[in-house]
Amino acid sequence: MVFSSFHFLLIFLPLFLAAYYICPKRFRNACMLLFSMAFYAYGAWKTPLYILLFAASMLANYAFGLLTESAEGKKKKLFLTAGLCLDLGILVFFKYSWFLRLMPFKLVLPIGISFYTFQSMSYLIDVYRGDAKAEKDPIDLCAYISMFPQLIAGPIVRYTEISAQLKDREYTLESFVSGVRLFILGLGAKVVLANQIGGLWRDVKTIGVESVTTPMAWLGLIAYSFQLYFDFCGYSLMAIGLGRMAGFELPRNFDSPYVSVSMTEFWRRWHITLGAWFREYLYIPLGGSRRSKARNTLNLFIVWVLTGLWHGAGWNFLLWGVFLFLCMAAERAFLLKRLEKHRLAGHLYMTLLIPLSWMIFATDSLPELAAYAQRLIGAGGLSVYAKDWSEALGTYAKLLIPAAVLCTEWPARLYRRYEKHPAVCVLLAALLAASVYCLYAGMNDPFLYFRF
Amino acid sequence: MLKRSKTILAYLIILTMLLCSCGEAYKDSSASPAGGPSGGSQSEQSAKENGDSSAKEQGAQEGSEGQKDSQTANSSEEAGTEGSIEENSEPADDGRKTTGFIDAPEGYFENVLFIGDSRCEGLRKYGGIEGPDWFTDVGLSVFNIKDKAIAMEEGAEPVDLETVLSSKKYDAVYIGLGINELGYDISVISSRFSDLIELVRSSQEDAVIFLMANIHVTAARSESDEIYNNERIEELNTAISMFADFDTIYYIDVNPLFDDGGALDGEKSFDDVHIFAKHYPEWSDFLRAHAVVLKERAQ
Repeated sequence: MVFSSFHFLLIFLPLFLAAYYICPKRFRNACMLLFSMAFYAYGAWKTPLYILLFAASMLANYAFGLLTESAEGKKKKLFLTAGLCLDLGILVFFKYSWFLRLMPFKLVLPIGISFYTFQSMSYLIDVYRGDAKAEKDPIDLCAYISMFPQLIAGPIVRYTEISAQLKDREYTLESFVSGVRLFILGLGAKVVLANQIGGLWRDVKTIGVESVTTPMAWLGLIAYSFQLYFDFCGYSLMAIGLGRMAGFELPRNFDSPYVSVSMTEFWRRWHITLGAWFREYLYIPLGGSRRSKARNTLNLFIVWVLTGLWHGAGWNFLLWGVFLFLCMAAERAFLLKRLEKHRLAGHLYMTLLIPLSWMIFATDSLPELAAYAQRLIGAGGLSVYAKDWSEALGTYAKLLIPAAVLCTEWPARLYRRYEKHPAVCVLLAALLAASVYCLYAGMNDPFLYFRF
Repeated sequence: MLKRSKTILAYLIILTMLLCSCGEAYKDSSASPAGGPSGGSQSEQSAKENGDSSAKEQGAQEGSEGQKDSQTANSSEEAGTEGSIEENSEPADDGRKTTGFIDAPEGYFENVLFIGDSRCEGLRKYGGIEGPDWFTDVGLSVFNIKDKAIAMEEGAEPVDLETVLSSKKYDAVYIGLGINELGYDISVISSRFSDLIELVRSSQEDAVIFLMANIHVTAARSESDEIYNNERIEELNTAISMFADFDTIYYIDVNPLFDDGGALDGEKSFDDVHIFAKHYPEWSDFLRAHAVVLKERAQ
C-alpha cells in the first residue's frame, strides 16, 4: 500500500485513526502494530513468506536484544554478532544475492527490508553499547520496527529517539492537526508535483536514451531531479505527519537539500537519517576522520559505496556510491572551504553535480549510462526528433518553474510563519482536492525509493 | 511436550510447502514499472481510458463471442495478418485498379496522409519520413476522430479531419488507430472504422487506403491487463483486416518486425506499449517497401 492511494487515504487511515483513538492509551502500541502488519500484508500478500520473515525478524531481534543486555563480556559480543548477522544476512540474501551471483535468479524484494533491517541493527548496537535499555515488551519493540508511517520509506528511526514515546506520549489536538497539515503537504508534493513531473523522465525512457536531443537529455535530468526531490520530500512529510497523528514525533529526514553548496552539505540534508546511521554505526566505529589520511579516505570510500549500494543492488548504484565518494573526498581535501566561502560558485557546482549524480542513480545499466552521457554532450544519437525538448517544455514548464521555486528555503520559511493563517488552511484544502483529483485521474505513481 | 513439538513441526512443514508452492511469486521477472498504456506523452490518453472504463467491461464479453464467428467465416483475415507482405506482389492484369505492393516511387510520401494515434505520432517524429501530412495525436480514436481538431503545422490553426480530407487529393491515406478503443466492444469499434473508411473514401475517391495493424504490447503487459492484451489486439486487428480488399484498401501488419513470440519484444520497449524511437525507421522502411499506387499512375 502506498500513502498516495485511495485505499490508504479513504479506508486504511480512517479505520486506523478510529481504532487508535477509541483504544485506551495502553493498547495503542498494539493497535499500531496490528495496523502496521495489516499495511505490510496488503503490500506483500502475493509473497506471504515475506510477512512471516518480517515478523520472525522482529521477534528474533527482540530476543537478541534481551540476550545481549543480560549477557556479559564475550557472550555479549556473541549475541550482538549473531543478531547483526541475522539482520544483515536477511538483507544480503533477499536483496543482493543475485547481484553477487549467489543465486541464479533475482528474488522479489521484501517490502521495507532495507529500512527494517537497518532499524533493527541500530537497536541491537545501541543496546550493546548501553545507549538504550533492551525493550521488555515485544509489542512495543515490534510496534517501533513495523510502524507504518516509516516502514516502507523511512525515516530510519533510532530506538533511543523513540523509546520514551513508546511508553508515554502526548496526544494533543494541535499536534494532530499539524500532522494532518504536513500530510497534506506531503501528499501534494508527491501526487501533484512529483508524479506529474515524472512524466518527462518517463518520456525520455520511453523514447530511448539514445534518441533524445541534447537539450532534452538535460531537461530530462532536471525533471528527474525535481521528481526525486518532491517524491522524497513528499514521503518524508507524510511520514512525519502520520507520526504526529499517532502522537509520535519522528525525526526529520529532509531539509531543503537543493540549497546546498556542496555534496557534503547535501547529504546532511537529504535522507538525513540514513547519513546519520552510516556515520554512527559504520564511519565512526571504523575510525572516522581521526586516523591517518589514507585510512580516513578508505573509511569514506567504504561508507559511500555502501550508501550507494543500500539504494539498490546494481552496478549503477555502486558507481553512484563511488561518484559520491569522489565528490566527498575532493571537498574534504580542498573544495569545501572554497564552496562555503563563495556560495554562488557552490550553487553552480551543485546545479551541475546533482543532475549528474541522479543520472548515474537512474540508469539501469552501464551501456545506457554511456549512451545518456553521450547525449548530454551531443555525441551518439539515433533517430532524434529535433523538437522533442521544446514540446516537452511546453507541457512541463508550468510544473518545472514552481518546482524550482519550491526547492528553495522560502516556502518552508513562509509556511512556518503563516501556518495557522486561515488562507493557508484554504490553500491546504485546495491542495488536498488537487491531490485527490490527480489520484482519481489515474496518473502513475512510481515511488522511486520504493524498491528499497 | 514432545507431542506438541511434533504437531508444531508438522504444521510448519505443511505451511512451508504451501508457501513454497507459490514460489513463482518470489521471482522478480519484471524489468520496469509500466504505467497505464502510457508513456508521459500519453497522459491524456490514460486519462481518457480510465474515464471510459464503464462501457468497457460489458463490451469485452460480447467482443469475444463475436470473434469466434468472424474467425471461421473470413479467410482473408489470415491473409491479412501474415500474407500481407507476400501476397499480391505482382502487378499483373487482374482487373484491379492498383499495382499491389511495390517500392515507393520518388516523391510518393509527399502526397500521403497519416491518420493515427500515439504510435503514429512516434512514426511522425522518429520514422524519418519526409513529406506526409499527419493527422495524428495521442489519444486519437475512431470514437473521437470526427470531433478532434489538430494543428497540421506548427503554429497553424487546428483543423478537423473533414477539412483535411476535402482540402487536398491524396494518393494514399494510412490509418493507424485502435489501441485507444480497445476497451470497447469489437463490433462497435468495427462499425466506427467502417464509418471512418467511408468518410475518407467520400472525399478521396482515388486514394489507396492502408489499414495498419495495431502493434502488440509486451507479454508482461498482456498477461497482467484485462483490456490491453494481445488477444484483444489481435481480435481488433482481425476485424480491421476484414475491410481490406487488397485493391483499393490494403491491410499491413508490422508486428513481425517488433515481435518476440506473438508479443512485443520486451527489449524494444520501455513502457511495454511503445517501441523505442530507434525502431521507428524500421517501420518506415517497411512502408517504403510496401507502397501501392494506381496502375494508371505507375509507369
